[in-house]
Amino acid sequence: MVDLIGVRKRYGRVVAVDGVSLSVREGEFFTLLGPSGCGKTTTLRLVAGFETPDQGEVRISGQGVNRLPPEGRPIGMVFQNYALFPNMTVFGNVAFPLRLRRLPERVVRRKVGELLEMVHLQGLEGRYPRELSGGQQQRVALARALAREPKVLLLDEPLSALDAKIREELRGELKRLQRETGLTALYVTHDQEEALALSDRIAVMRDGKVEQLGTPQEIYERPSTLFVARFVGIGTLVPGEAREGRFHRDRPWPVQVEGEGRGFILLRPEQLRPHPEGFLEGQVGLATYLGSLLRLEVETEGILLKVDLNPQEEVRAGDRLRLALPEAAPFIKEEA
Amino acid sequence: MGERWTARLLALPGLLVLGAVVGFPLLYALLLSFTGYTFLRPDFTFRGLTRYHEALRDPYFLHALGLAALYVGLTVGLTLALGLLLAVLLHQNFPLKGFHYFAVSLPMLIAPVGVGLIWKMILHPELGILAYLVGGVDFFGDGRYALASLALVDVWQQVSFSALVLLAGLRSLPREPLEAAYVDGATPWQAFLRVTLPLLRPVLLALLVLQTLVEARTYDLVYVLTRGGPGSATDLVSYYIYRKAFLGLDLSGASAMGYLLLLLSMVLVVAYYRLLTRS
Repeated sequence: MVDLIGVRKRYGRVVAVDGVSLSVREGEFFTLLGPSGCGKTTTLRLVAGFETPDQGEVRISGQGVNRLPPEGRPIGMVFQNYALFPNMTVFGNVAFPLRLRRLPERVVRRKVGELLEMVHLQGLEGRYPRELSGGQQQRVALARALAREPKVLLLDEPLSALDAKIREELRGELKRLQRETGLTALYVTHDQEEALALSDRIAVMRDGKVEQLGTPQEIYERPSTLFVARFVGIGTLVPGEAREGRFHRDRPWPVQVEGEGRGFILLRPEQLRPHPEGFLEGQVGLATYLGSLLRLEVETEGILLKVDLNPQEEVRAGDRLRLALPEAAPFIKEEA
Repeated sequence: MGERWTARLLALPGLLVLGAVVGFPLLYALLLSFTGYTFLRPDFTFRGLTRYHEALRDPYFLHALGLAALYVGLTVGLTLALGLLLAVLLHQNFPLKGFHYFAVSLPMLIAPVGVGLIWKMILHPELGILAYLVGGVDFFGDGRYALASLALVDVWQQVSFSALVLLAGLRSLPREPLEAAYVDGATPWQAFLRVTLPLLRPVLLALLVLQTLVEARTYDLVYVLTRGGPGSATDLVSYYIYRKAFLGLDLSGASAMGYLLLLLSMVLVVAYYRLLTRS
């Protein structure tokens, strides 16, 4: 549905997008994930038509769109700061793209009604954006983006300006709406939890390039680079060596790995369990109660391991603990 | 001594000068407007609102007021429209932008009297290049063109200020609503009309207030270019008040007219301010 083929964009000396190639399938929820300045928003803006690539091609539904202005592309877009028109009511905002198409007013009214119902905003048609909460404003923005019946919905960090509770609520609704409408969604975020929860596939970006592309499980469980391992999720990278299918430090660890040579294994906090006969013994440096879990920092063999436990467990800082390791862990080769 | 008293003491010299330069003439004119004081008969006897009544019955004052209203409408309308056009053009990306900024802001840097003298030469019926090009039209001598010519010279100078203020306004607008309009299918013109312009409304209204006040007080250009003529074709209210005071020597009558103008301006400002706060 959306194809980027060797797309490159630079601003002066800064290369914002450096030869990105990826394909977003029809009906897929695809996320560009990365830290600030990694080029994810520029990539989205290239798809939207706000920027033109210096090299490469952007295709939507197989058609090259490099020369098409945003208004000529079959897209809808939701922005981080809602981008509602402050001089228009909720109705006016959602009706805007419909009125531009010169649809009869009764059709506009019916469609706006349907869209507002879809985003649960019935009854607020006459309000102005300033009279709505952040979450409500973003729902209006979503309804407006859908009004044009786009083939591709572009979402530029749409939840990052909202507080945590509303963010989670809207996240679920976004997913539901995308599933219901069957729209192809290209989503940009720096929030890895959001990306994992929403996406069918994720492209992790760094310095204008795609560092890894895969399903949320692949990205989380099998990060291919140290950057991805550090950026996505919480865990500890343990340096050592992979030899004959096992991980070695000063002694062989009971952890199977794929690959050979020096590198790191990634141990996620939920994979480590206290066990009386656990392979590693260490001391709890910090025990933090996080509501749904108890996060420990356990110091062992010169490594600080993060371990998640049931919050009911009675473990305190200073306790000694034996930890059982997972049978297998992702091995990431040392970068040159 | 407390901090507050130190601050008051430090502000005192400035306040005294301001009081002497601004406050005293204002107060003096107000007091005069309630008397029958003229330079020929310096009489400070209190006469209530007589001079105000006389002013409102003075056909020349009413004519000057009407002319000023027409002039303000013409100049403010043109200044805002052309200023907006220039601001939008300057907002685009093109080479030598710095030079264009300088060129646009140049008229603003010249004193109105200087502007008047420059245009007096350009539009001179015998020596002026423009008059020559359009076939010897007497721009300031012909009653049919005088007010429009005066207005155009004024607009030429004022437009740079409007353009720069509106450009600052355009630059401060959030980018997203405009981009959202494009994604929604708006053409650049539709996006400008339905998104940019409404977002610029507070800046436009503020400019409207400022320009109305500036144009209502137009005096120097009239003095340099037409002296209110031919006949009374460009006898704007500020110039008429000046004539009343210093040629007619009727200081109390001119003061009453001045205060009526101030009152009208204040009504306008309040009306604009209401519009502004509502937006």
